[in-house]
Amino acid sequence: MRRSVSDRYSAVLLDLDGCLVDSNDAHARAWSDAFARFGRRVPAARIRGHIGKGGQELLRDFVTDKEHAVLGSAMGAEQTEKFLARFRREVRPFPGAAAAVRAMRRAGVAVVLASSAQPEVIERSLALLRLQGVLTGVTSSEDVEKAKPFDDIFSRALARYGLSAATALAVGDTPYDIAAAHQIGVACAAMRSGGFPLRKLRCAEHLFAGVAEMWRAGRDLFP
Amino acid sequence: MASGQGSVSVKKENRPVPVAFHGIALRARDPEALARRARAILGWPVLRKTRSEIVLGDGPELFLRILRGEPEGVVEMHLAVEALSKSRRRTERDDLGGDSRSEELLEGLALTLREFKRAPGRKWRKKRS
Repeated sequence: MRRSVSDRYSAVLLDLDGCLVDSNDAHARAWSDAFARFGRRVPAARIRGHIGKGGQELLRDFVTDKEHAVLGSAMGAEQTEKFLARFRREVRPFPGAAAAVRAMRRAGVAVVLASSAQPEVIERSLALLRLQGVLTGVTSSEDVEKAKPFDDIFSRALARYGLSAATALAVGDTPYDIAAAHQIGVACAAMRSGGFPLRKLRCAEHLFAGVAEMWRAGRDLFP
Repeated sequence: MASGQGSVSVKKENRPVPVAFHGIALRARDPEALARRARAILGWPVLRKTRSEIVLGDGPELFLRILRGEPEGVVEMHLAVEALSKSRRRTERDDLGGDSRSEELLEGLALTLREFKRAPGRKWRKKRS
């Protein structure tokens, strides 16, 4: 459906992993490596469908409450270390995604990176994408108590940068992005680039192959 | 009678936040017999075994350590905490994957406060599905 000029989205709350960088598989493998360091065998394939949640939220699906309380922080730190070790070899930018973000900014769209990732992962990814200084702002898991699928990251992004839920579009690749956005009445565009099956993304208002295609094919969604 | 109480005082805002007791160490004349009894009750596997000690448990997050010796009794309690570094007292990096500090609660009974920060060392790892 074509949107009128006044209905267009003036702000984008943009996820990182699976949207700007092809990193979801590397995250799953890093979790599997981290679990192994704690004596747990969890295949990356079992973890893959949970990528997109914040680290502590993901852990709750694989360890007991007691293990989570005692070891949760250490396991999260280990995953970040393992992921950063894999970063150079395994993480690639999606073609055209960074260019689309620059074009959004030139068109006057506020673009806030609203990711559940750790700050050091975000920093490394933005350097890879050469997007430092381009974005309106960044919120990460460090800024909130609960990461996705809770709405805290999107809520914080709206509040911190003075954005309205009515004119913001969350852009993510997982059902957890969609759930987080819908909790606060923000529309969501789901990107298939993250590798999640279509049936998991059906609740999104918009569906695109990736960020580059969203900017090209969904140009009338924006000013 | 508690010993050294004055030396462990930490300002309220800097006190570590207890999360859970995660380990206990017992001294016994016959560690093998005690380990058999404990295994029968708890079903825990042996994490490691040497001449001087046997450790049973799930991993660093939940263990029973049995030391050979006398007198028999509890010799260590291990408490997982958060914000240990805020107390600004000296901590040691340990093989369980934590930064820890031990205080003597009673003569011969140590309380170890541990903030888990990283993966445990090799001898604490255990294969589990």
